[in-house]
Amino acid sequence: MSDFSTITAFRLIRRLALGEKSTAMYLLIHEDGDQPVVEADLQAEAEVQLGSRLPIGSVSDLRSEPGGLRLNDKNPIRVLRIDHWSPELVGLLDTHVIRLERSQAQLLFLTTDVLSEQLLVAAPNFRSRLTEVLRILPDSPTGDAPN
Amino acid sequence: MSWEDDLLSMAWERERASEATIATTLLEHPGRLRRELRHDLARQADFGRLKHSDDQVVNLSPPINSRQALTCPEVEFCSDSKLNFMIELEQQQQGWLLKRFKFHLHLPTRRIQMIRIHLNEQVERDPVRVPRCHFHIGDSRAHIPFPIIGPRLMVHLICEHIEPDLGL
Repeated sequence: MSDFSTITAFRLIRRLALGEKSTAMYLLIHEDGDQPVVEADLQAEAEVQLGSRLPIGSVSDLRSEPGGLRLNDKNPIRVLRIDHWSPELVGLLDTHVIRLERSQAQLLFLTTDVLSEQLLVAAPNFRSRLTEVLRILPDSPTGDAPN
Repeated sequence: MSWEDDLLSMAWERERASEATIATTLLEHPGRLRRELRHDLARQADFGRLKHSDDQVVNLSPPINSRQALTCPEVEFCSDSKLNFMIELEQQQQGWLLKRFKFHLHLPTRRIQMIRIHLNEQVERDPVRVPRCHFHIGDSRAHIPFPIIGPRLMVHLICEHIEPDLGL
């Protein structure tokens, strides 16, 4: 398991809000089973910090947007799940990463440990264009510090 | 009516208005309010008023019956003042309502070294002496009436107006 820095939705959305309008692509690795809570955290933080809802979808949605990413005018952040292994999709991501980068979006790719390891090997162009790979932890409302 | 009765009647009238304010001021779900307060405090750090703020600056206690509490153990201002607070909310049919709070602001380098703003759980027997929402200056036992305002506005008021100005 690779040793990536950790982050929470609160800190990540703050970081994106401070770097408003600058393109960014993060690969966010979560523990198996944490996807719903991580997505809920990202959504809640976007609503509180940015005042808008976050589009959350699957990376396969990119196939239906050949002309470019559809972005919310008010909020350039978009969350894309990579929740199963598909060589075709990974190839698409690796081939079109420059187009994604030019979209002026702040893209958050959500995936698991196992899938991230496969992805980072199979998609070198994608890997080289990532702003950062981070391990995202669920928020801890009761005050237990994130690990 | 005696002079004392007249004063007591006025105090009860003020308390009834306060109760009406509390009963009609619906707050966000405590989990959401925690995120909002955390964001507000982070903004205060961005503005350079707080030394720093982080994920765990406001904590949410597990629910007990229909109540939940938000606590901020401490935030430190750049001036070395310190703020801690506790807010207890109660879920009722119409939504989440304020039940009680305590905001304590310590100002070690000022002539007035502390201010405490409290909302008690209920009105005391003598509302002339102890209004449900009141503040204390320093370690004074005098209970000075304070308007009931929502937690986010209270944090804003303390950070932007009370702390920068009090006891200079």
